[in-house]
Amino acid sequence: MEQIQDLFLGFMTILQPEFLFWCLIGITLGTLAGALPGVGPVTGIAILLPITYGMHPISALLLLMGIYQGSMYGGRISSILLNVPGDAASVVTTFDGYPLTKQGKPGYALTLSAFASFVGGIIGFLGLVFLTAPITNIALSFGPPEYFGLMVFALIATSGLTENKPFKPIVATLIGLLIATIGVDPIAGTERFTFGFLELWKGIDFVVIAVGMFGLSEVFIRMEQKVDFNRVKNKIPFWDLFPKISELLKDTWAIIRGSILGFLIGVLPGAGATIATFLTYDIEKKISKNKEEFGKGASKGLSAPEAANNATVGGALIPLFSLGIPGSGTTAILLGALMMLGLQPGPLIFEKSGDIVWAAIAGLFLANFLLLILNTAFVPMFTILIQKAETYLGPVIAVLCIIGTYMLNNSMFDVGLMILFGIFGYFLRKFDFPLAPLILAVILGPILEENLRQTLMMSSNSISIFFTRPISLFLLIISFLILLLPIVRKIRKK
Amino acid sequence: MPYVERLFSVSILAVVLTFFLTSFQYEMFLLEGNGIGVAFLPRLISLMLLILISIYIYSVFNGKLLHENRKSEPFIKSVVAKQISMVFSLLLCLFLIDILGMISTLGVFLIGALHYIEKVSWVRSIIFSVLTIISLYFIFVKWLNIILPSGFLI
Repeated sequence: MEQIQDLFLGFMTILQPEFLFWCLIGITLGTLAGALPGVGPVTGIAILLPITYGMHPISALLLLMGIYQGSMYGGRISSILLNVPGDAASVVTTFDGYPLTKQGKPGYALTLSAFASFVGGIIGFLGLVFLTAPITNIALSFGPPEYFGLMVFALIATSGLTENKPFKPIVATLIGLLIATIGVDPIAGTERFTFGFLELWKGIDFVVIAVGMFGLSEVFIRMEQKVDFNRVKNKIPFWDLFPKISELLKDTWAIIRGSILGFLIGVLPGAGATIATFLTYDIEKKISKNKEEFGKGASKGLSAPEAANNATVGGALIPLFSLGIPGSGTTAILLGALMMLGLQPGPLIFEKSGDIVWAAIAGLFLANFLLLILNTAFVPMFTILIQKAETYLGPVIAVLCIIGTYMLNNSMFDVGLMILFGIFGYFLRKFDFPLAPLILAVILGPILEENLRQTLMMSSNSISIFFTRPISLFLLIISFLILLLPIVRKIRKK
Repeated sequence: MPYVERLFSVSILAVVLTFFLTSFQYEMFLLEGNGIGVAFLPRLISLMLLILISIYIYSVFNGKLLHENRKSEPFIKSVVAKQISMVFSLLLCLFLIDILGMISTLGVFLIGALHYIEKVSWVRSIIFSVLTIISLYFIFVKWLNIILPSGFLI
């Protein structure tokens, strides 16, 4: 198997002190980002993304993947100890995790969920290793019409049309697409919407928008939401973090079920970890003989969704690497990061930069292994860290946002724009507009426009080209069906 | 503060309208059916946004969206005052960076933000800020070789 050979080479590559160091930094920062309510993977990656500018691509990817996987692990810490989820995907963890803490078993809950996260992460990793290549081979036959169909599908699937209230996600997506049109047009070379600013000729770097909207807006949001971390002081006796093996293995099948489901949901654009965890919890509750225990500290109610949460990481990376389409806000920022590092996500990435990508995939396995250790033996350290960091976090995030944005182009204009987007992002969040579809549209917008224009040039402005090519037709039909979902749901309700 | 959402919705409309009108400066289609021009997509998007934001404004002014179950916190005057101070401090930093240098300005910003906004004591604010700034200096300037704006201090 070619994949195993490539993976082996990937492992050989990352076993260098520099790469191991960045992986360790990534998982530590990721766990911290996940554990701090409100921060989560998107904000964590957005704030630290500019730091990777100028780094070796493998170091940068190991750092970012470490943050991504680490924050998935870390989200459970505040859910279990405080009943405050670190991010949306960790909400389900509070259902049975916090009751276990109230029963005096926080150590068991933390270790069981870390073990489930590990199994989920490994199953996601295996899926990533064996499924990326076949999907990449299909994508190799894609031309501009197919790519346009794929971009439309990715935008519609992730824009929130599948949710109950799709209005605001659609507005956010369109705003993102509009922002993406700023700057010199890549085909005709005409400058658009620069309003006399030379700095806008290159367009607005997605990092400036991501850092402002996710990072700086978080500073303003944190001023409103204060969490009392003192409630968790001295609650976890160290040896409670090491329960008997039999206690961990009793939920094996639930963990495997959750992992497979999480992985499959992770592959779908727009579904993501939150849906995976809720669906897994619901299924486990339905098939359980002791339904009444759910919500009162059922171990399966904690372990299965945690496994699903972490398995989504491997699943979400498949369309990112093989097709170049992100399925969530986090993978959208990772896509931008890959582009920033000079890689071109899509079917040719394995041909052109296979060594880097396989090293990053190998890093995901290493991250899972290290995270299992970090999230069991070092949980007391993280508990102290999140207690102490809370007060200082807002101003430190603001400082990192400023330095990080400046580093991109050595431009104070970018810093000013980042502050502007931070304020805009704050109001969008305040009025319940989701930020992920917006940033996704900013990243995918130029690719969408370029492929649309190339296709129409090929067909002399005839749109029939989209319907005569089977793959583009298939993608557009799926997109259309997703568009119909809210209407179908309304009719069914009536 | 329903007025904030009203102001926000009208502001977005104004920005989108500017984009829509500006798009008329560019060509919609290329000559001889050779594809679409640079104005095609932005005009289409801004037109859709104008319609959707008009609906949003209508619902905001009629109070329909104001009563839905919001996930976010309500506006509290003391918090808003802190947020405005934070914005002004950040804007002040933009001007001071050229004079004091980035590292020193961010150090002053950290001390001020920690003491006045987060209510941390002077001593703790200064110690934490100095240690943070020294760490950032070594990470970015010495280790990652990033050239940050320097002033008369650093």
